[in-house]
Amino acid sequence: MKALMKGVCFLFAALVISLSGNAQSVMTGKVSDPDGKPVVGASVAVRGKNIGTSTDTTGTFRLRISVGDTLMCSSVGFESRQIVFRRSGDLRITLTEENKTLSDVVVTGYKSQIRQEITGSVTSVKMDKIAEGQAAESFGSLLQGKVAGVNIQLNSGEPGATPAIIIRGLAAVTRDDASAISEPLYVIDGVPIISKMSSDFAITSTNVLADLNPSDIEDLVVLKDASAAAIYGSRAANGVILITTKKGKRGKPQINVNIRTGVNFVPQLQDVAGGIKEREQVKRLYDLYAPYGVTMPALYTDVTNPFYNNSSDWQGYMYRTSLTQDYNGSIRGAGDFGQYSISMGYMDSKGILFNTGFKRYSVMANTSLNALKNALVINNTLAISRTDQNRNPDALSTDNSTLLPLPNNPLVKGAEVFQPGNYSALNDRIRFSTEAALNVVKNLSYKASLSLEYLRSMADSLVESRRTLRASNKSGIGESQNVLFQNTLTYTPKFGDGHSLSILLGQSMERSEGKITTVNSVSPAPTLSQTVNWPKGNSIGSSNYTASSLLSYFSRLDYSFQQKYLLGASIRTDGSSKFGKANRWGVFPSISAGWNFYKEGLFSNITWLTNGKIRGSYGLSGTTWDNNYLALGVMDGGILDRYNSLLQISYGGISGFTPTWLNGFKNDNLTWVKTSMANVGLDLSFFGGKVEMIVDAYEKLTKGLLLSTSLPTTSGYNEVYRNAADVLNRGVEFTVSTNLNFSKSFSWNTNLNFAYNKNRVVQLPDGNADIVKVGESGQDFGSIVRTGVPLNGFFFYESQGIYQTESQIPVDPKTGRRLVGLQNKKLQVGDRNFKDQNGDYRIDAADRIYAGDPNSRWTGGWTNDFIYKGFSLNIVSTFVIGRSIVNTVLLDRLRLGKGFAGSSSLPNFDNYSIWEQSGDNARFPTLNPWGDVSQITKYDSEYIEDGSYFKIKSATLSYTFNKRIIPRLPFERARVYCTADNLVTFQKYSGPDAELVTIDGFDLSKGYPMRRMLLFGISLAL
Amino acid sequence: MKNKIIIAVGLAVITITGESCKKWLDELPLNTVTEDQAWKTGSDAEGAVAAAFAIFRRGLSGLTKDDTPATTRNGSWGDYYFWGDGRSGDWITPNNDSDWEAWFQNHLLQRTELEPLSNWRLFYRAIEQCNLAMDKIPEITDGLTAERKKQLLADARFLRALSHFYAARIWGDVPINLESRNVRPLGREPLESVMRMVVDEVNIALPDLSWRNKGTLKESMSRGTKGAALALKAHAYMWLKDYKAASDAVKEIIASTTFKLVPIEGFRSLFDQGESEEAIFHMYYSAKKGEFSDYYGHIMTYYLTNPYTSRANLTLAVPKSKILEIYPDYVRDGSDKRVPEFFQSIDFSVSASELRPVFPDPLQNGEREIMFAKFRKVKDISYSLMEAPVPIFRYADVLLLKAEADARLGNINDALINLNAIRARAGIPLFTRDDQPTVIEEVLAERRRELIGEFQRVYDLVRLGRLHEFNPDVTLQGEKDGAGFCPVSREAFANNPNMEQTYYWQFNQ
Repeated sequence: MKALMKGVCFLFAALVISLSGNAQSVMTGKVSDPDGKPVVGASVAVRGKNIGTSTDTTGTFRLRISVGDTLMCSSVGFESRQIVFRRSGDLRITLTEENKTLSDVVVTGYKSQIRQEITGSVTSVKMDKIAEGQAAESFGSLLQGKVAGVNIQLNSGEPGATPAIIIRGLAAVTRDDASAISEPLYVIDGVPIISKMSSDFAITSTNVLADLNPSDIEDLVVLKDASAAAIYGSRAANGVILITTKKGKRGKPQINVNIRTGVNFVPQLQDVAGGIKEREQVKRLYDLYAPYGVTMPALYTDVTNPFYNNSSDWQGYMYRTSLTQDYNGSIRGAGDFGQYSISMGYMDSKGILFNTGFKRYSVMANTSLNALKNALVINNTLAISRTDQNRNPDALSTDNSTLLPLPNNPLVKGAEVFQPGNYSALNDRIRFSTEAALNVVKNLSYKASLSLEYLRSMADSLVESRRTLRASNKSGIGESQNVLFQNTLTYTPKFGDGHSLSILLGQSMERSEGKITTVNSVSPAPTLSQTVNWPKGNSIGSSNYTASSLLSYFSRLDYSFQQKYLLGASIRTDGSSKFGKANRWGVFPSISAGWNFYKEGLFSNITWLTNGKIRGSYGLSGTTWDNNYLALGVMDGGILDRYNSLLQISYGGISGFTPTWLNGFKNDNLTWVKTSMANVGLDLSFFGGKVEMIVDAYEKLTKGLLLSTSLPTTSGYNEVYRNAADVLNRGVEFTVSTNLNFSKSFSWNTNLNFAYNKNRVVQLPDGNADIVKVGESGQDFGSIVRTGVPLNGFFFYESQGIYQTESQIPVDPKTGRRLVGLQNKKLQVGDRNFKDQNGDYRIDAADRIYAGDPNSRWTGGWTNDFIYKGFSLNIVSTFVIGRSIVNTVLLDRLRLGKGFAGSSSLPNFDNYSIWEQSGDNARFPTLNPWGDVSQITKYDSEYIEDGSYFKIKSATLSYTFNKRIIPRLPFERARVYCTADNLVTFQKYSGPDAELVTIDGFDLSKGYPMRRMLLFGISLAL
Repeated sequence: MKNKIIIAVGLAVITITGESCKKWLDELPLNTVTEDQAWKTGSDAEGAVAAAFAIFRRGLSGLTKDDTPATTRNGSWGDYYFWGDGRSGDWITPNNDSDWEAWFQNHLLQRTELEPLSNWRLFYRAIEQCNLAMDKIPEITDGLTAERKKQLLADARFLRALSHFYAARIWGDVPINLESRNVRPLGREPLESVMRMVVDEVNIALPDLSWRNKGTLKESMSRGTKGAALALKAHAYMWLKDYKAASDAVKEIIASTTFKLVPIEGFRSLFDQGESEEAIFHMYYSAKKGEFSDYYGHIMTYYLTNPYTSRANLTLAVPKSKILEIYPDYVRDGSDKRVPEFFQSIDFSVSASELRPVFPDPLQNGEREIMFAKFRKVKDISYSLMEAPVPIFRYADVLLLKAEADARLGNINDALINLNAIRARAGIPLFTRDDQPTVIEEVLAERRRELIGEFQRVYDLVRLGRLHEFNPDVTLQGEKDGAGFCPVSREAFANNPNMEQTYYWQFNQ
């Protein structure tokens, strides 16, 4: 009966068409893929008319059309097609699968470009697939190992910590803080975000990028070279990361739910000689070295002590297996009206260390409304998020002596051994942007957008001291807001025989503002809560304000001839409030060219070459600095001294302004840090896109990095900032990816990328004087910035082993005196043999050398995807080769003070070759804690180790159910998966994890180990 | 055509938005001002000059952590005023403070804790503030009368000269900086050139200064006046050994009749309140106006203990034997009224948590237990707000200076008039001998008695090259090599190839 009805209908329809000719009628059509399978949810619309529909589960659509109409049919993953309707046969539309590499549209600065026409070094990463199977706080860790030349290091395993993201080499110089990095600019849906406020205005140290739920990201584009990034002008010198969030897609509403729970396991921790072993080691040290009259503490000798044979596992007590939960839900859809996308997320990641954790609540809504027959599109985005990080106010000591009882031991219960207190950091961020895009006429569109961003950070900390019975607390609140107004005009004419042009003109105004207020107080412990309640007389509060504005005009021009010869140029001029009026505007031009040589006739016979392009670019981009008023010469009205006296403010009751003596004075000469970058690249694709290869080589010269130079005291000023340092980075990047389908049911995709970067300091102020990094309180970091060598090298003494015999200690032939050790030590057998570089028979600061480079030479990643039917296995690995790091933890643990016994746990000395007697072929000198100068010295090159590693970062095994496999599935699609995160690390380094070191290569003993996570999840599409 | 119009309109829109926000880039801080805004009105000018005095005051009371990067001490380091007394040989540290001990023994480089004391940064900061004021104030017209402008400029000029003078007394040869924004590496100028510059500058400032400023005596005498400038000039001439000119300068002060020697009973209002006609120039302090010192940084900090401050032990004191040596008249018949005014014996047997009584006999206590109580505050151990103005020049000081100058010129009678004016007030017999060397010696001894603890003694001795006679740790040769002056701190050598260390301190610690 049904069949009959269908037949009748068809007959009727055919009749009507034949009769009515041009008259409109409802027609039925079908959209299928090349294999003949129906394409579900493809959108079909009539050009020039406001009608359209989408295909149902059988690929069928119905539409009222008339002969001569142009049908536009598109679906995700397929090439769009346009068909002029003449007869019903035209309605059987076959869509061919999209050739991703060629026709992909990539979001670049202020516009989108077809991949094939791109002339800069641009890499895009589809985040949706990656984020589906992994729970991450920020996209940073998911991006690790995905893009050649983007070096992402997770320096800490602490929940909420900020990963270091460096694109194409470090280009930051400071005198003190050795871990300054050159951060890229992050742009979310066209809006630069406040990625970082200056340290004076940062209340919390939580990773600000963690505000953005990785599950909301559709894709991510990294603009690496100057031609791609220069359009972002004064902030683009360190690269730009463009983030596009997920939008609704045509078809029926998609509801997605992704639920996952992970178990965080404690990784390998420090090596501890527990219990009896520790006691024996202490005894041995006393036996060997204790001077007359120094005896072992009773803890080690009194067998009646209940803890004599104790072995407390402090690390086991402080570290625990914890849970991570991550829930995401979204509803998205699109139609003729526009699109909508609403998503929500909740993440709760408990740390493996006592008292730590990170939570995120996020909501994001995005709608686009089409009006004026699709000529006007209005897009609104609202994103609200809160992150909540819990930390310990100071690092907990996890290396107490194993002979001490744990706090849960009944004998000592109640005696607090942790430093009590807590620290909570809250970031609330609201982003709102509204955008109107008007298609004025054919090829000409105008877009205006207004974006507002508001970030509030709150930090509350409370620390109680059991020793002084006083507690101190600190509350801080910081607000920053950002307003951005952008106008762009795009004109994309096509003319003649394959000439196409794209012209962008734009303007943007941006203003950001920051405010902070902090209060802290100290009082007897019991009266304090976590909020400050102003005890009389000992509260000090402060507040501060900063603002900056930026006015920019930019333009980009891209020309393509038959997609064969490509030319691009951009120019941006930025005016910044940070500069004096005379020096306010910076101009950042770039130029690039590309040649799709495979389109030449010469290659037409080479069928295996699918794509081949040579690119070249050169451009200038900039960076500024955090202190908004540095160039203006901010005056100082004085501050209350610590007794609340006005002595520094007024004289005789009259107060006035003075220069801020510390930062110098009005400095009209301060200008942008200018980075010029040249890039050449080659893109190749073989066998219909099955194998792809990208090679880039670049040279990045960063000139005029801001550095302070001290002024003569007679000037009255301490120092002044100048554009004083130049750094050069050179490198090569390779990406090879394959996309192999062995059969219909089995495919293997792999992506291998690796990058080589070499970094060199070109110029420094004060006649290229070395900068030995010194912290604010005077501590020497052991890092040096020196011209001609990579940044932040280790400035160490060169170890030559250990003196085994007295005769090995050099003697000055002139004076007959023996070499004098560090701190005027009389050298002995068993002491460290440092090389006397200047031959003055005295080891002192003049004998320190540039002893190692903490910058990674080779970085990269290797990703493998195996798909068999519904199963897929995804393995991500990352690696670093050619980096030196310092085992500071070991140094700190071997360096025993005179009262070492019982103060901390000891490593198992058997695992280290430590000198005890003449002839010992040892790596470490005598541990003698009572010697006049400890031989376990800082800046000893012996502790420099190879920091190379290969890490299998994650492995995801998943199974996808869909209707094709199980037609009766109650939902569209379901994926169950299991991910092992931080699976295994292969390294030469003797410490726990070669990645968990600072940018400048020190393994800080207070580091937080990286958890191993096993994640289980299910992702449903309804 | 249509396209062109639209492009034109679009460009126009962009241009207009651009034009309308030219001011968009003028971003200024809210909680302070920038240099371009700081010199607009009369009150800016008033504030700037006052700020220079505040910096100078801080320079004399101690550097703070904020003033020097990564200094060795956390916070201000005590009482820099004491430069002028520390090494005179008259002082001890009863609680054996090893920093002061090293200072007394002229071991000024040995202890890193003393390093800030050798740092002249704040003097040059005060100088730079004066330079800036003298550069910028002439252009200010808003709310500033021509007369007041002249006065302020003269005031700044006076302070700039005073800062150089004070630095030269401490370090000897010092750089001269009379230009704002002078970041050139300046070398040290001979002490004579510095003193000559001081005299020249004072001469320029003098016509525009008045004898009295507005306000109370304390306020008036805490800023530049004709009296202060002349006193400075007299002191500078003494260093130049131009005794005639020094004497003449003081003569002008006397002739003005602005100042007088107050009776001994007026010492409390002189030293504790600064409301006295004897004060010529002092550093302003006032708890009422919030300008007080607490635990550190005031003249009284280390002298006083309970019952005046919360301190339990004496840090700096004059030993009893020295008091007896310095004040022979008091030993003889108890006639010197200054001894009970300047010294007190506290009953240390009473618990430190209580207000300790003061014995009636100022010298009742033992050798190391007599409090130097020339400057006092109310008896209260619960707060230590110190607000006594710190004298730089006072009438008795310049009278004795004139006496010395006159004596050296051979005008013994003139010398004796002023010497005896001081002696008469103290209640000791008038001096009658008239041979020149004895009179000179007696004037110096009188300065020691009268100005003890007022930061003059060391400068007097160094000026005369006689520190080695009173300080056993200084030798004659050492003093010739510059041992009387403070070494130049490490920091002064940063980016300054022209800086040189004092000869003595190149070889001694």
